[in-house]
Amino acid sequence: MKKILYLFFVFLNLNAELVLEITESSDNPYRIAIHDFDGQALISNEISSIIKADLQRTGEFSVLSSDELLAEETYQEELNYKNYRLLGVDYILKGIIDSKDEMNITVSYDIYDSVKEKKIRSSKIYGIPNKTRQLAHYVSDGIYEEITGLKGVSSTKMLYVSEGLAGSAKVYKLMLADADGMNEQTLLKSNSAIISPSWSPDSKDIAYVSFETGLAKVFIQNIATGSREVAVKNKYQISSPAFSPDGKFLSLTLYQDGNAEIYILNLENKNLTRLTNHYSIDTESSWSPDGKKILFTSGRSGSPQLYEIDLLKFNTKPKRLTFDGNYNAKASYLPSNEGIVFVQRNEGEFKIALKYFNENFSRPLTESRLDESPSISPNGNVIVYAIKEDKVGLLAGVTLSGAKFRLPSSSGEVREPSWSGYLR
Amino acid sequence: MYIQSKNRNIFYVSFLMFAVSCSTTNNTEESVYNSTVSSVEVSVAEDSVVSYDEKPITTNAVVYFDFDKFTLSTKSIQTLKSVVRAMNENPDMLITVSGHADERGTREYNLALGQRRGDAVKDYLLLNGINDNRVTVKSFGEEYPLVTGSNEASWSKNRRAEIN
Amino acid sequence: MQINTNYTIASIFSFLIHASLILFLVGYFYSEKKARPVLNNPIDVSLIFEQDAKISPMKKTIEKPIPQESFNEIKIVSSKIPTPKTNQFKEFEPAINVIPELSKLISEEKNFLNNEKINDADKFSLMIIDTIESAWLKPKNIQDGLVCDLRIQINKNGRIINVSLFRSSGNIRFDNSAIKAVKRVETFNFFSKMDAKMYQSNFKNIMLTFNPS
Repeated sequence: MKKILYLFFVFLNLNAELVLEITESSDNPYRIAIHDFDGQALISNEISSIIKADLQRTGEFSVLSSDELLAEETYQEELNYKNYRLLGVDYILKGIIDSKDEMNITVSYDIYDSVKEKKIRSSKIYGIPNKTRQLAHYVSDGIYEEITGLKGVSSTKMLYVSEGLAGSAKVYKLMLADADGMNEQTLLKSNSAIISPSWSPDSKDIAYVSFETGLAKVFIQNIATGSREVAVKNKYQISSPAFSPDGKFLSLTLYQDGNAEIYILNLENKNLTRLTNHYSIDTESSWSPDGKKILFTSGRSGSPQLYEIDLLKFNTKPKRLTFDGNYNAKASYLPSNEGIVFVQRNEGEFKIALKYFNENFSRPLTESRLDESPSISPNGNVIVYAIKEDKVGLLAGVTLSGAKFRLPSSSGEVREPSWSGYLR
Repeated sequence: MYIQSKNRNIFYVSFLMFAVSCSTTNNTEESVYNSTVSSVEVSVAEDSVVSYDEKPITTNAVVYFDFDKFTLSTKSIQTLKSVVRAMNENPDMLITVSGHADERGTREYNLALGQRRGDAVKDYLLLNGINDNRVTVKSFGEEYPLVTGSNEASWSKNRRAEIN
Repeated sequence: MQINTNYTIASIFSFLIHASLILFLVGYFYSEKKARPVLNNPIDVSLIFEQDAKISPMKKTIEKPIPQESFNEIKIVSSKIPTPKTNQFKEFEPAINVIPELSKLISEEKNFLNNEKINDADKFSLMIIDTIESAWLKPKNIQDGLVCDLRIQINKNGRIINVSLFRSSGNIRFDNSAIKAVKRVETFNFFSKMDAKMYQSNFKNIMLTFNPS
């Protein structure tokens, strides 16, 4: 009986709205051999396939599974490192799934280095009922972390907005899904547009802009309870929320005097502090990882360009960061604070670009025509963004190492992705 | 002898390296994070929604703009002149100007751009003697396009300010 | 008897003093490290002999830069040197005339090789650099000016038995690409042509600098 229930659960998951497609991997991946996990075959297969997809999506791994390895290697107790090296394998993964009572699954795994010829990691993960996917993501992240030295993001989540039709009326939904697009849940369903979702640093609250009152307004919503409130109660249009890294402040764009200006809202006492004061558009604020600077888009030079304000210096002139191209907007800092990722118009096409602070040029990362809303993974290695393909919006991803993937929706349109912080 | 002295150094270094390379396997244990999620549904009061499907636009004035611009063209000014005339004829008439943008560019910047387009219309009306409190401006950015399509023909129809 | 004991003690002291003097003279206590500039062309990848670096690996001090004098360095414009198809160093010769800068470089090296026996070490260093360089893929979308140092342990058959990051570039993807390149090389086949003394003195532990700029 339990088995049947479990199968049903898997089926439900596969029915998710977003479908992951890996379109390109980087040219120099780590080669890892993943042996089938010992334990119940059904769960073992599922976990192995999730890990495989997770690692491939990072673009930094190519996976050899059991059927591509020699049979004798699979069943050997002692690893024959030399054989693995002949196959070009850099790392070997072996694991055991302990699922004697199906509500409590525990995965233990070991990673071996074929050059150093020794075990480099031994880990154990305790699952919780009906969260097999999460369990597998934890394994993927452990592998990624051990080999690359960067934290993995398979166990993180994503927010995005979907637009579909219910009869003749448009339905907008703010969705929450795992980083691979699976396990999605609706956070907000509305018949008005929703834009600019963003996460609080502890990933417990979200802020977004909803047009449900007929006017753009920023709402803060708790994911667990669903309780929501308007961030600033007044009669003006408000948009572009971004939480500060310490979670105490929310930067916003207020249209109080008709024009878009950036303000900082203290979330404890609801005090508003004005940050910009210029007759042109100032919007799309985002915080530096240390919370000391704010990056924003401004039209003060005649075209949208990116500027930075140092919050520690009183009344300083915003520093212009972009000089190439006549449209640079919607920027965010890399978590390492080495540079920024933003939308750039180049020869009439909108692409996602990266600019390091120590370089005076920007590097385009994407190549379709209408790319927008870039959101960076917490480890800084993956950028998810929205594209248009045959008039339909869908999500795509690119890693700094050059791998690419797409997350098209099986129905309707998806856009405005926003990556959570680390959840494990 | 020189070489011998070098050997001594090698021994020194490799001994320390042995200590470094002897680092043990990384052992970890963790539990999967548990989370709950609640869903919210908002149904909107009818009167606060501006409906774009049902209300025929032709009865209201629409002015169009260039990409990333909010300046009024001569054609737009002709349209606005008739709006001023209508408002002067009906002193009780209150209007809402909704600014819109095409799908190109970022959504937040387009929201601000829509606002600027609405403001440009409002500024013209005020200059022509219309009272400030009769005109409300709001922006919908690129969220409610009039025409779908990724070409200039569609975009030019979406870069607009609607006067209702 | 009494005299004899005193005499013995005196002899022992005398012997110790003389022995240390002789050892000092022959260089047993030699500690000065001189830089041996080989070529003055810009560095691309440089190989540093670990045994001459007087730094405790336990203190990974980035703040305290390694004094240049304490290294034996070999510098090459490696990106312009064609990859030898075999491990014979002679294979370099046909490609000499391709780039003037390069030919100058290689002729300087040839002089070195012809001159003295010690230059065998340089020959092997170049081969190591070349092998690792052909295995190295610089990651995409990485900023300029990154440099990292790797410490490598090689056994006498030429197999790399340990790689560790000695000085990080600050960018983990760059460091990883360097480590990956060294691991992919796995074995230097030409170590079989190296005599044991050379291996012991120069190639047991080496330090590699990755500097693509």
